[in-house]
Amino acid sequence: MSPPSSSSAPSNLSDAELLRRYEPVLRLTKGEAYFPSDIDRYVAQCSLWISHANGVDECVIARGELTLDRLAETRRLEPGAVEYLKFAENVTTLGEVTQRAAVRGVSTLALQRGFQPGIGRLARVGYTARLADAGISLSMLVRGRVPFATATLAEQLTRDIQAQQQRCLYYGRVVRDGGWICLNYWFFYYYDDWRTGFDGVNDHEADWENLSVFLYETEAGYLEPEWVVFSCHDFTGDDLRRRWDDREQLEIVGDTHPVAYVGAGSHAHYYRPGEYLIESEVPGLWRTEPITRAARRLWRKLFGDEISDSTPASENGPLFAIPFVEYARGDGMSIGPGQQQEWEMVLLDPAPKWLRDFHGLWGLFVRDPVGGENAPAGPMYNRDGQPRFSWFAPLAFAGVDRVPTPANTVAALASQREAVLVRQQELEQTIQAKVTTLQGLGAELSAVAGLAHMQLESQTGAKQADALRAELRQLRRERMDNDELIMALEARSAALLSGQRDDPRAHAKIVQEPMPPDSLRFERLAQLWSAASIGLLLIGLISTLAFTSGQVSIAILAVLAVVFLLVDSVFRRSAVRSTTQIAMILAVITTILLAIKFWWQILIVLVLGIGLYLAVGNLRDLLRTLRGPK
Amino acid sequence: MSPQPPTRSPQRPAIVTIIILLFLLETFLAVVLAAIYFAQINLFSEQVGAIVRMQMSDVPGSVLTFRAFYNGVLCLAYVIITVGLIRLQHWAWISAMVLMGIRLAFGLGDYLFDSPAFPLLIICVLLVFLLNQRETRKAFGIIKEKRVPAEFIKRPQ
Repeated sequence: MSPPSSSSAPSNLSDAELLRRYEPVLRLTKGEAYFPSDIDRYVAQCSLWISHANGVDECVIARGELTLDRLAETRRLEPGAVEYLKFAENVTTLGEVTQRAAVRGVSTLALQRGFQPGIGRLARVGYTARLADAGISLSMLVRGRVPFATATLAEQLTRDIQAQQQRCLYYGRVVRDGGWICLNYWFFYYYDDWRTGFDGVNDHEADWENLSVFLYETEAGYLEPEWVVFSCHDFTGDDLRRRWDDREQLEIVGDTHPVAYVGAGSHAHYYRPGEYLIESEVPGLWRTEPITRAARRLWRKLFGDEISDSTPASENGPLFAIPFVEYARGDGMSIGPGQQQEWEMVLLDPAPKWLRDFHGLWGLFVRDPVGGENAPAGPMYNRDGQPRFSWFAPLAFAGVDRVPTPANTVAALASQREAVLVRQQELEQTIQAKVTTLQGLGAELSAVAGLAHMQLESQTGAKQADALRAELRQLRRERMDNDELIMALEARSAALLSGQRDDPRAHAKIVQEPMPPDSLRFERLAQLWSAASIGLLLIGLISTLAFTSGQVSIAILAVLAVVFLLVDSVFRRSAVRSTTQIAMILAVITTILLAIKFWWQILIVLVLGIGLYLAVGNLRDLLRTLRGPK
Repeated sequence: MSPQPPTRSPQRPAIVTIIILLFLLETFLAVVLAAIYFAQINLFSEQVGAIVRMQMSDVPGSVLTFRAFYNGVLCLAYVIITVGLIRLQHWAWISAMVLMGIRLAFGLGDYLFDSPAFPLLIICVLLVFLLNQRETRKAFGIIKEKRVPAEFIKRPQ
């Protein structure tokens, strides 16, 4: 039995003590206006509204009258109606709000709060992504979205509230399941200003984020941390978690406090500080994914990795994705044990009524059909009122549900081996019984062979024998697979007993890494180009189609395409690859045109070639036969 | 003084030899074309120039002059790149690919305007595919061999 490490905890600690022992450190980005705080003062500032199915909004509880208890009251809603809070409700005009903001020194521009944007997001991606982005920007004109004034007012209100008393707070709970002890930390931000503050995807009032630490009880009876799971946008699965001892990916303060770098505005969590390129899929285009994936794979297979943009990993990503840069630099405020700000804790056990009974949205509902601009629901629910995956199944949310605790792994392997051995015994008996039956059938068939009056029995017997042989084949295959499985289970067990550990990232398909710095040539010019290129391309396209026709149009469009590709590739240091790609595309087009033009001649050459090949082969065989054996 | 070991030139794969031969062929064709176009601006003699101009009477003079200089530059490029290819230079591979891209773009343009030079197009297509072969790219250092770290090499028990 190994002794307790510096990060372990006694198993008799209460839930609150456990949460305290492993509470995380959050490092925000400079320019961030919001931090995790309490819901009490937020709710007190809000009014409660119902958006009825007919489009009419009704104020149910006015501002100043709302409390957490009143929020949890049961209200009957017709199907299609949405309950929501309004935080920044006194917005009249943007002019008025910005004037008020200017007087009080408040700005939704993160730049004025000390944020340095670095290389723009469009300069880091290709044309398809820029085109998709242009489409989404235009869609904002039609979709519902949080007004800019709301962002300004929300910041003012937040400052007012925090000026009275600055509180950094998390809501915690402990879930015990499958041998794991999940410490689940929830953070509430008053506003998400990713779009208005940091050129991100969306803005919304209220933001709930969470992270978890998974502990297990060792044989010696103390608790050891094994996994950490950071929520990050809508991602789920194995890629979200890191092993406690993975020091390249996970920073730990004081042996027990994992460090999360918080995305500016979005409040998504990252393991390492830096800037991340997040590619948000264009809604509705997921159907084209199998086609684009197959095309990319074909291109890579035909022409090699070096001239292909895609890699086996990126091949699965969407082609038309909107790029967004997530700034998780960690150079701003730091919250946690021993940091600038310490945590207050609120235990969610038993689940309070506001958590359980309020299914509505925690901020403004703007009727955004995509959902990104509508406020989120509470920790327990999704926007549609359905239970939230990360709440009701925190283990499955990050793929921990299929992982035994290190203390149980060897036992799990042994029990699995036992089960397979039992199955092997069953298989052995079944196979022997079926072999006896098959041999009996074979004997019977040989006895009736050649007897005309027994032909029907012979045919039926033959069919039975064939079916039995197929079945035996399957069973023998299963027996062989099981032998392999037993060996693998034994090998794994022996490896674990000898103290070997897996690669800490073996479970993850994609490990998000910050972007490498300074990857652009002529940075300012490149950014200018990336911002203007799609507009210029569209102007060029429309002008060409409007003022030219036929072959001239095609020629001009081709030149435009080549020039745009080359300019971009020079900035992105990929001129060689782009040149090769262009040359390959031209070569493929030319080959197709030549094949269409000369299909008859090609056919003749092919037939002649095959004829010649066969003739030479046959003549060689003939000569070998004539010479005879040596 | 110890004798210097003989310097060995890098080994040239057969595919690179084919590429060089095709490039020599293209160089020759480019030289011939350039010679013809330069002849029409009386570079060699007025008599030859008159004959060439008569053969190309349907093409405007300015176009002929442009073509003469275009083919002259092309000739020069071909010669330089061929030398680079023979010496297995990295830049020669890139330049060859760029040149083939330009040739194909012009070739396709010609195809659209009904005066395609099919033999040239076929050679260009062949060259692009040959240049893109893994063996060729390796010979010119466009791709590098990935070395397997020592800890991943399985040793016999």
